[in-house]
Amino acid sequence: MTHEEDDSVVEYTLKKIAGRIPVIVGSGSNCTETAVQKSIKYSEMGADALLVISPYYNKTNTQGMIHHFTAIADAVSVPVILYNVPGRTGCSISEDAIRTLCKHPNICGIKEASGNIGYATAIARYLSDDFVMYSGNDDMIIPLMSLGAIGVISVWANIMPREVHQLVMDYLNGSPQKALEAQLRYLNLIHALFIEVNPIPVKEALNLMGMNVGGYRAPLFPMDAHNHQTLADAMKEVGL
Amino acid sequence: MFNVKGSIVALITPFHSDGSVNFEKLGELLEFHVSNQTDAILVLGTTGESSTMTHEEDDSVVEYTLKKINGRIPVIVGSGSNCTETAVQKSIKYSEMGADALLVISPYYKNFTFPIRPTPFSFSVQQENQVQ
Repeated sequence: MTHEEDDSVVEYTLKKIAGRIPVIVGSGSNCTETAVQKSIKYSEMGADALLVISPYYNKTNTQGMIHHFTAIADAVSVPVILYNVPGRTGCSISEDAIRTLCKHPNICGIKEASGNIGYATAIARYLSDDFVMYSGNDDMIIPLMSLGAIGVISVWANIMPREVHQLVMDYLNGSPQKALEAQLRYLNLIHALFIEVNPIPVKEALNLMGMNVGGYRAPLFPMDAHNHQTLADAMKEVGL
Repeated sequence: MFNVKGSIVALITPFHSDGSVNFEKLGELLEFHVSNQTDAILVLGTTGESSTMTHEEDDSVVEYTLKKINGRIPVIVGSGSNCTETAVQKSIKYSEMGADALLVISPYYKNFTFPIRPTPFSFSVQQENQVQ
């Protein structure tokens, strides 16, 4: 998307939501200066928080990682959520970097999507009211909540928002067994949503539900026919 | 087709202390490689820090390099992007500028920064399924 399109989506969303629930805006870039500029702009537009990806593709060292996120957090007054997804970025935010970054007054947490329970456990030692964790993987909500995560930044919620909300609330409100049952009941569907690169399957799922959200911009591409059938079957299995 | 044998240097981009591109030093490096048997030059690769350069800086580096090398050895230009349309546009531009070959990265992560406006290029799922 162009910068102009980014801005329009943020502006429209903030106006439409009008404060009813928080709006988090992705303002990251693998160019620190670009990420700083986008973060300033979106915080001035009224974003409640920013989700900031680690430098993907070009990558950096631990000090560079700390500098990247600190430069962004210093430039704004809204909370910044770190986003760790090494499967996409090619680099993990090291535990050393987290140890420093979690103390920054504007850095409020991490979206942890490494899929590595050992890493998440190491990071869990730095959690507090001022540095929270969200699962970034729909198939690991329960494992990460067992480590102290307070929710999920979810792809699955695009098609089943009530169920994802209820799962998290059940876990937080003393019914972890009920939450676990939901995690396992929907696991086939969750796996199907990631059978190809996200967001290819989830957009197709929304289209199958009749929501007509349209296609993709290249390089994303429509689903393979076999995978499409797997997704449709998984949706049918849970009554969608 | 392009079939250079030997060592192709993935060239760094030299910067001034204020972060701007140091073209004088770029020229020195290019001459250094020509006189030390490098077989071809690659500019704007990952090593060239293209991720943190503007499109305008990219263009200037390509223009300067092609002029300086002046056909003595082949010049390969990194023209990839994780946005197909951006990669197409950059590839067209650099080929027209005189690049001998293009190096094109596979789609990494997702594009957040996109100074060039893409032409609308979206697939309709229904249409695609009919084609299949």
